[in-house]
Amino acid sequence: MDDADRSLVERIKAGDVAAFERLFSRHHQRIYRFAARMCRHAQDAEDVLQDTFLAAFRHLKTFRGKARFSTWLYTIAANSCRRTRRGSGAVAPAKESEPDGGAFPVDDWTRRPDALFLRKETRRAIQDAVAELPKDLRLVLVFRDMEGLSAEEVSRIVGASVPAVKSRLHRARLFVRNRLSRRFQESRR
Amino acid sequence: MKAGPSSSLGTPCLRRLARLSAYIEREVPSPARESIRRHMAHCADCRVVLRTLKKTIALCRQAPKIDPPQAVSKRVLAVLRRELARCRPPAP
Repeated sequence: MDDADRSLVERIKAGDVAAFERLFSRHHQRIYRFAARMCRHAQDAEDVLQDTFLAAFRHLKTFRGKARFSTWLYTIAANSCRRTRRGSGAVAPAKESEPDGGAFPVDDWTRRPDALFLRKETRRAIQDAVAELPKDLRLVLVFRDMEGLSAEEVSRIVGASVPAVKSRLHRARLFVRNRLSRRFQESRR
Repeated sequence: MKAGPSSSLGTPCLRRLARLSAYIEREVPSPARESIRRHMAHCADCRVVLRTLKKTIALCRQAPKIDPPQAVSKRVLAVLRRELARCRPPAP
């Protein structure tokens, strides 16, 4: 665990509850960002942010410091996301996320001008595709490819083995890739 | 295999594609890695899937950061402060 986090946690456990505000200021941006990506709804993201820090404060005694404090917070936030309206959604047919799930678009859109990938529509297409992922796949993709956590950290957070995390991540990436391929094909018509 | 805008990949391609993320992250051990590389050399469709998958990963990694609006941070901090005040030891 980060030394600054460790010191703050020890102070809070010793009764200096005001030190929790420092933990909030150090970590609230990443938790909000994660929640916004998972829920895609500002009110849900705010609810997750609030629930996460209230739960972290109330259960700080159970935090043993074996994992990073941010990993522990992400675990609480992931559970909180599952309780939100949109965070629990799983609207994508599972078949589409499978590598053998029927037609595979093979249009090479990577050769399009770079400007295309900077456009708001492209960012929107990625957000849409991520939002349509089933929850277990979305969690892994957001943590690994958007928040930059390691497969081992994601494994601890979601309570699955590292191979299971990697398998879900691959399915999630293929799903998003297929959605982008279709979007780019449509935009060319 | 014939490249086109939409195609159903054959079973040998799909078997390799199942390991494509691991291949991109250099986690496929050497003999299997060589086999995928050889397949990519003559399969245009699989090369497209590889390129577009790499680009997808890059686009996800570059997705813009969403910072909490100041009003949100203030509201949540206010709720937290009320909770902290309830737990603060009474002044001597």
